[in-house]
Amino acid sequence: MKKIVGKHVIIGAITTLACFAVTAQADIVGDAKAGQGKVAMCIGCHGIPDYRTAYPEVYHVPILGGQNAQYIMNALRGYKKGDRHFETMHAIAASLTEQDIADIAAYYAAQTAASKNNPEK
Amino acid sequence: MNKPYTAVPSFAGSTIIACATLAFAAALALQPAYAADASNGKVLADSHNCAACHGPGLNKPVSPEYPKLAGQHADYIYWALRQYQMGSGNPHLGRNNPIMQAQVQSLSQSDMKDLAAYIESLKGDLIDKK
Repeated sequence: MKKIVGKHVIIGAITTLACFAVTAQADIVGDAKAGQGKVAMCIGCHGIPDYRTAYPEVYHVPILGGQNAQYIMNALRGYKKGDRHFETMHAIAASLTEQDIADIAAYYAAQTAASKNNPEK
Repeated sequence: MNKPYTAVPSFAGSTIIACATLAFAAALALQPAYAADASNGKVLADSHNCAACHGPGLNKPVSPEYPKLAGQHADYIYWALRQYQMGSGNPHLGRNNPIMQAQVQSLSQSDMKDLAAYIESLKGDLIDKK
């Protein structure tokens, strides 16, 4: 009897924890309006016509406006963790919270040809 | 008066010049300044089935995890493709995505430049703004 109760308690506890982890993840929703105030570090490179990297390879920094939010979030997490390699992006992404990442992704995903440039610049 | 090169028969002289010209032309052809061929890029994009994930016109990915490509800068795409080709073999520069790593293995440098030129030529949602 005691054994069965113990088992149930453990299963219950694990389920509760798992549910909590899932909701904690799902609670973060990107807000494009909030993102507008968080892209100060982004627009120093992205959004400047013809802006290029210098090292280790010279290329135009990617266009972000209109990109899928989920892709941008994964890219930022990749830079933060070090799966993606670019020193500047690593330094910036490492300073962002999950909420920042979601907001910035929402901001860029919402941009269209009709969008105005960032008014907080 | 007795210049050595005048002793060379004119036929041999022109052969040497022709050979030198050929060698120079070959050297030029091997130079890195390669003019990308977007039409070959389209052939490669079709044969590698890029649209299966990146969607019609490479602008409507089938999952939000995949990026829109149409209109993206060609030199960035080329670098990204090279990074996928390096993959986990290069821990400092490689990009690790199992699907993309498999996709790019057979591509040459010029293939990747052609693909990149084709992608940049497409019109899509991407827009460069602050």
